[in-house]
Amino acid sequence: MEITLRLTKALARLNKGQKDAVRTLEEGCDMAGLINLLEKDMAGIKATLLNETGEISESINIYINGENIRYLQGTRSPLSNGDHVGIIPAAAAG
Amino acid sequence: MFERYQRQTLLPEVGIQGQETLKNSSVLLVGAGGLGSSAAFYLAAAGVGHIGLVDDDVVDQSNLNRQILHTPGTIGKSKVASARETLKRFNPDVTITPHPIKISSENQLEELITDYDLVLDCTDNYPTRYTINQACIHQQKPWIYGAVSEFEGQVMTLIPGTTPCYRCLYPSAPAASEGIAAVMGVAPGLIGTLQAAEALKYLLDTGKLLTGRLLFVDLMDIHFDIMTVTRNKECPACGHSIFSG
Repeated sequence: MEITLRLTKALARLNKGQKDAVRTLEEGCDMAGLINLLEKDMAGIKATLLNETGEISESINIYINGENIRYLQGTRSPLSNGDHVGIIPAAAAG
Repeated sequence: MFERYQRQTLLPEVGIQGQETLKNSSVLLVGAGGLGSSAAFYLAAAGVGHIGLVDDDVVDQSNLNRQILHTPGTIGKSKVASARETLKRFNPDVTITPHPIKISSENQLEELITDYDLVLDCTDNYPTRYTINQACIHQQKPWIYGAVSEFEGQVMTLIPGTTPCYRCLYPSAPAASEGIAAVMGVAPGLIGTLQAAEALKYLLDTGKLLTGRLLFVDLMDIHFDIMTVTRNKECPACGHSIFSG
């Protein structure tokens, strides 16, 4: 199955500046599986997205089709073909 | 009487009655920087009767790429005094109350917001944002979140007792300091304008507010996304509040 990914500019620095990406995943892959896959070519993204206990950092939200996975099944949230994953960290400046 | 506002009183959502409502409304902007500049300009333009501005900073030359309330002539001056001068020149009908203070406690902010109908978060740091969240929950005061980074920004409207709160969205702030944030002036220009639009809709009781929804904007790619924001029933900030929605 295939999912599309959208990153903010700050996170895209881990992806050679590319904000949009497409990943092919095995059927049944969940968010944790996607993050592990991303880490292979976006070194550092796993430590950015997850805290020491492996949960999603409290200052970053990961959305599947606009729904925050913190309120779905966290890193165990399942992914389906055609899903759109967006990652948005908190911003401070004003 | 409302000649200045003729183009908006023509709108069925505004009319003379709506213009009276705006005239009798008060909005507190926490921060008179980039977000505060565009938000304050458009609130004053629309005829919001009373605008309060909180900021303890002074105008610096490096502010001028985005903080359009200030000018080279006000460098070194208090931001709220500089903003008041600009806004009074722009619309003398509007009462501008400067609060040249640093928000240091929830109680202090709670006291301040009791005089206003609505709060706009135009801050540049996480601690103040969490303080606004808590104070507004305690005072049941609606507020509009805005934040920017580089060419990007985010906006959400929060109504305590009805919608998710800021801590439902981001349970805690990032641990590491970002240092000096890079910001292109158009980002706070647009996000502050969207905050003003949300404020006007709230005051006029019209339209569909960004409640329970986060608008994310990337101006570099002209990419707009709306994400669902869910209330956390275990939220340490609002979890024990009585909700109507």
